[in-house]
Order: sequence, then C-alpha cells, then structure tokens
Amino acid sequence: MATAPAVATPPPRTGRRGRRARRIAGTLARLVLTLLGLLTLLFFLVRLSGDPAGVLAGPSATPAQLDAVRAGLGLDEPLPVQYAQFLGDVVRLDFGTSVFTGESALGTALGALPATLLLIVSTMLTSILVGVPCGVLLDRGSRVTRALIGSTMTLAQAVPTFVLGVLLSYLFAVRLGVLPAFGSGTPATLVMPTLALASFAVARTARMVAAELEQVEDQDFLRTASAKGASSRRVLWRHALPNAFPAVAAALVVEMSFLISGAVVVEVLFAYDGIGKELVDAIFARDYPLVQAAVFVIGVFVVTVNILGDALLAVLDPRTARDRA
Amino acid sequence: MTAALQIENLWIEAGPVDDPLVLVRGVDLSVEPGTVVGLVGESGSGKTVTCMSALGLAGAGVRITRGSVRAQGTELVGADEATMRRVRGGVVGTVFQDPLSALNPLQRIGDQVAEALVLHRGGRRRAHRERVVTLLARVGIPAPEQRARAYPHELSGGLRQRVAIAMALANDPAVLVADEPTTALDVTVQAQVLDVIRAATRDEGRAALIVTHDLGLVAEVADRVAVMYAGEIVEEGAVGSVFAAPQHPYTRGLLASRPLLAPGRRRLSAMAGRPPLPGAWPGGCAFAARCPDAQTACAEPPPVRRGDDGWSRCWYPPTDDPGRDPVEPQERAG
Repeated sequence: MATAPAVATPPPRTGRRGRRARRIAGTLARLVLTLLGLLTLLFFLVRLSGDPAGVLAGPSATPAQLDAVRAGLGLDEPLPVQYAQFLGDVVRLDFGTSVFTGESALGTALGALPATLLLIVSTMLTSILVGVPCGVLLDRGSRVTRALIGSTMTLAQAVPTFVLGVLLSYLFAVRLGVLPAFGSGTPATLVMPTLALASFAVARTARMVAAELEQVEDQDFLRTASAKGASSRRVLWRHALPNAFPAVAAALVVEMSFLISGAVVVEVLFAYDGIGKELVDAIFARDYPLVQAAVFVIGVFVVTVNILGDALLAVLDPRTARDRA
Repeated sequence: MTAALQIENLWIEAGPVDDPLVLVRGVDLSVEPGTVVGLVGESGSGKTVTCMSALGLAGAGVRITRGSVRAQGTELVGADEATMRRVRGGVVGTVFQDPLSALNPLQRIGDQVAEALVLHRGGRRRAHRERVVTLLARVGIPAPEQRARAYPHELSGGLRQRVAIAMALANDPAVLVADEPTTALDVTVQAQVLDVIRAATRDEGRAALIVTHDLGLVAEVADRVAVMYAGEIVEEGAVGSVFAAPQHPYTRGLLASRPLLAPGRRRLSAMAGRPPLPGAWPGGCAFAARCPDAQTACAEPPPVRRGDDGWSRCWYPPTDDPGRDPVEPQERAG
C-alpha cells in the first residue's frame, strides 16, 4: 500500500567469518599475554618472599643440608635460568610436584577448583536471585521499602567479608547450632561461605539494577509497550529489566573476578577446602610449585570469566555484538 | 454515529496537588469514524499532553482533573487498568515522535510487532508470524520476512517509524493517534511515512488524531484541523475552510509563518512574541498579548463562535465584523 522506500542494503555477509577469526585470535593473544604477565610477577614475588629450603629442611639443618635441598628444587641456578625453565615448564603445563605431598601441583590445584567454583556459582546465583528483586524494590518500592532495603544494602557493602563471616559463624554455628562452623562437601557447609561472600555482591547487584532501571525508566520504548496494551508488570519484566541487564551483567562479570579473592578469605575462615585455602596453605608452607599452580589456575579462571562475560554481553545486547565486530 | 474518539471538556494538570500547573483547560475534540484530525500548535500548547493523557500515557504526575475521553464509547477517564489495556493497542493504536527510541533495542522488530498481537489476541508470538510479515509489508518494509528478524539499530529512522506504525495497526484499531510522527525524520523520508499514514487512515477509513506542528502535513492528510494555543483549542474546522479563511488570528499567524515555495518573493512573516508557558496564561484571550488586532474586549474570555462547519474562540473573527474600526492600541490582557 505504500511506496517503496529507499533502503540501505544490509551489511555484506562476506568477511564476517574473517572478522570473527581475527577477534578470536585477538582474544587468545590477550589471554596468553595476561597469563604470562601474571606468572612472571608471581615467579619473582614468590622468590622474594623467602627461602623454601629453610622451611623444608627444618630449623636445625646444616648449611650443607640446605644446599642439598636447594639443588634438589633447582633453586641453586641463577634466577634468569630458573625463570626460563619455569616458563618452559608452564608451556608444557608442568608445574612440578608439591614440595610436601609430592603430588602433581597442577593436579592438586585443579582438584581444589570445583569446590571453589561451586562456592562462586552459588554466590552469583544468590546475588542475582536476591539482588535483582531488591534492585526492583529499591527503584519501585514504597518509601519505607526503599529506605529499608537501601540501608540494608549499605550495611551489606560496608561490613568486610571476614567480619561478616565471623558474625555468621557465631550466630548460626555457635548460638543457634543450625549450621556447621566449618568444613566442606555437604550443602550445609556451603551456606555460610556463600552468605559471607554474597553480601557485597547482592548489594552491588541491587544498586546496579536500581540505577539502570531509573535510567531505562523514561525511555520511549516503555511507553510504546504500554501503548500496545502491555501491563505495567509486563513493561517492567519484558522491557525495562532486560534493558537494565547488560550493564548489570557487565558489573557481575567484574564482580566474579573479585569473588575469587573474597573466596580466599572465606575459605580460610570456614575451613572450606577450595583453591583459595589451598593457596594460602601453600604460601605459608612456601610450597612454590603449588602456589604457582594455584595462581595459574585462578588466573586462567579470571581470564576465562572475562572472555565468557564479553560473549554473554553480546548475547544480552545485540548492539554490542555489532560494535565489536 | 458515536465518535471514534470523543474528548470533552478535558482539564489536565501536573505538579503538586495543592499548587498545580494547569496544562490543558477544557479541550473539546471529536474524531469521527473515517476522519483524520490534525491537532496543531506550538510547543507547550498542550497538544501532546492532551493525546497522551487521554490514553493514560502522559507519565507520572500528569493527571486529568475534569472531563471525559471516550474511545468507541468506552470512557477512559478513571477507567481501570484492564480497560485501559484493552483500549491501548486494541481500540487506539499509537505512534510516537521519535522512532529511534520508541522501539525496544533488545528485541527483534518482528517480535515487537508480534507482542502487540499477543497482548490482544493471545497465543504465542510465533503463532502470529504470518500476520507480522503482512503488517510489515503493509507499511512498505521491503523484504519483510528478513526484516522481521532485524534489531531496531539495524534499520533506518524511516523504517523504524514504519515498524512503529505496523505495531500501532496490528490489531486493526478504530483510531490511530500519532504524536509528531514525521518530525524526527529526514524530509524525503517524511513524505514516505506520510504516505503510509495516509494509507492507514484515509484509504482504510480509520479515524486518526495526528498531533503536529507541520501545517503541510495537516493539509496533506487531515480532513479537519484543531488549533491549540495555551492549553485551549482556539479554532476547529474542516481543513479546506480553515486554511482558506482562518477565523482566529493565531491560525492566521501560523498559516502566514509557513514557508511557501511559491513563485514570487514574499517575506516570511514570523509571529511576534512567544507562546505563554503553562502557569503564565493570562486571563481573557490568551493570545491577546501577541495579537495584532487585540482590543479592549480581549481582556475577557472570548466567546465560542460557531460557523457552518467549525468554530473559533475570538472576539473579532474577520468574517463576523468586516467593517470593524481601525485597530486600537494593543490592549494587554491579564
């Protein structure tokens, strides 16, 4: 019924595959560079922090015994040689064996990873399941609701993880006796570490959701949806919130990288057998191979999360996918 | 015959209840079936807020204090949510000014058109795919099957406005309300979108209320025109007669300040002064302060004068008083 308009032809499809290949190559290069930097830093920091031979051989060891231990660990070589050797081993994914257990360092670190991943996933789920509704209420609730949630969120963000952990432990394990104070492996042991870890993330998510909703609120397309006959609830859940999510998801991806450092504290606090506790134990024992393997695994995790996060954002917001192409 | 859209003595205000800002005062406007009405006026005259409030889309803080709005006989002032939802998109389709921001950036356009169908006809979005493609084709979107899968940012402004129109027409509403539908578009695209609107209204016999400040648009698509000034309609009538013999001095001013690409040089006349802002409306005739022909009587609210087919609010309509005395010094009202 209408005249044919002048239309811009859609962007040519040729070259899209080439662009994608280049993008993936770029991402991989970034990953390798990040890990190389991390491992270099780690290598020198660990060696600045003290001599493992002293710990291993014990306080009563003679200088000769110490030298023997050092030679056994390859610590008698000059630093650059050690560094080159270290990098060569890393390329082959050989982090050596734990000084104490004699087991593969990488194997030990990887073995502790699932428990930490579980903790992080449950923390993220809590952040989303509690944070998003809180964010909606923070934006749409009555004055009292907003004040109540707002101050709760401020408190949640202000209390440090370890303080909250101790308080939780006192309340639920010591006073009420409903949750185990420490340990891992059962669902009950996951509750307090998750709460301690999630409090900050929940508050952050809620604030992000509220801020984004406020931004989205006076966008015309919400009025369009109302004009189509959508209920205000549908406008919120189908149109406003999805448009708030890309920014919230971006914040959560960043948050997830921080969670791993929070996990270190929480795991130690609740004697939760994850990679964070493994790392701290290894540091105190000057178990170089294990420290290096654990940091490597954590590094790979953080970089992977960021790459997956970028991919997730592209799914959540089609405009992003195009901008990056 | 009941009007497709009937607005009676509509008063709208905003701001605190104890110290409100009156935006619209006593608008009467009727859109008969098969008729296109152009609602014109300068920014701040209350034309957009009239339409949006009538549909309950004006936003928080803007409220109707008096009057009635009926769409196909259904009273909308004070209506419950369910009634409003049924009317919005079902009885009245709405097109907004800025197509760049009127579509959800995260949804494919086909899904957005389908949502309008789902909301009024039920079923899943996928079930309406065929009708979505038909609708997109009807508003002149080329390759509608492929375009249905596009995101808004992949389309030009003109195409997006076509999508918005397709969405408004999805459920064959009796009335189309369009708020400055071409203002945000390039001039060449404006003509195309205007064609679509004309097809959807005149050619299909649909009633429409088109808010605009573009008198050219009114001349092209509208049957009747209502001129708004300072929250009131000051003149209403058939487009032909209003354009040929405007009764209100403000209408005359608007018509005279229209650039014409006619042969012969003519100085473009601009109206002196600015329209008063809401809250600063003088008593009496609100236009008196800018009116070249204002006289003493203009300090009082002007009477409504009905002609053969239309009416105006002026103390001294030209045809009414041909042998009027020379213009007296300007009398400021208020």
